[in-house]
Amino acid sequence: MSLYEKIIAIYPELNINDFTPGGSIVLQNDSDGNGDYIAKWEHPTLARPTEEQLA
Amino acid sequence: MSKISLTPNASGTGTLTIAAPNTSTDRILTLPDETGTVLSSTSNITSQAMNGPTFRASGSGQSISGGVGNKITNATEVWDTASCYDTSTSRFTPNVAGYYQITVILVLPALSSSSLLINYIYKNGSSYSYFYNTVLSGLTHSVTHTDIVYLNGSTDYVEQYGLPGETKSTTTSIITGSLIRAA
Repeated sequence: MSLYEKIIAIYPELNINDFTPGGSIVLQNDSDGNGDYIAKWEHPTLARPTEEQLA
Repeated sequence: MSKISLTPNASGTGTLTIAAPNTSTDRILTLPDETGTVLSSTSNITSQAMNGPTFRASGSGQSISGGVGNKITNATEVWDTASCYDTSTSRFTPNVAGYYQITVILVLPALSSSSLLINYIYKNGSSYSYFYNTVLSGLTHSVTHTDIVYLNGSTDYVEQYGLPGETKSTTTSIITGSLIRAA
């Protein structure tokens, strides 16, 4: 399951538009072997998921 | 009536000759109404702009995560005139300061649901500009984006990123760049 899918599973009210430019969340993968990560989380009401939630 | 004045140089010893070509047609050469040096075909005024760095690289088959801005790896160089494109990092770091036309192309197979595809130009690790399409399920889709980016000729670099609506393997990705005006 990708990071995006994990976050959607935690917060089903989010959709792809929240992750696009102008949205409050940016997920990124720099193709450096470190995988997907949260580059920005500025959602006005939803808390950034914890590592435990994303594990 | 304006005049033409020929001004010899007291220090020089050579003779400048204005030579006519072998022609039977009368012609008029009009000098520009401004101060400066008239250029010839060998004048080295814009060698950097005319012979500046340009590159093209491509990739395919890269799995990119849905909902994520993925660095696109374009490891196959088509040309790289100034050795400024690093295939190991898929970064273009030109060695001439100026304004570069950067183009990125991203092609994906059909998504299983209607969504979107965003194609980014990243400068120095951050989004510089992007273009996106809304895509319909079951259709192959592609996004081409181009922009002009100033790069300082030493540390600035550009990369391609892509954000699909769902995880897919790229059909084709391409990044190209050319210096269009030296700084």
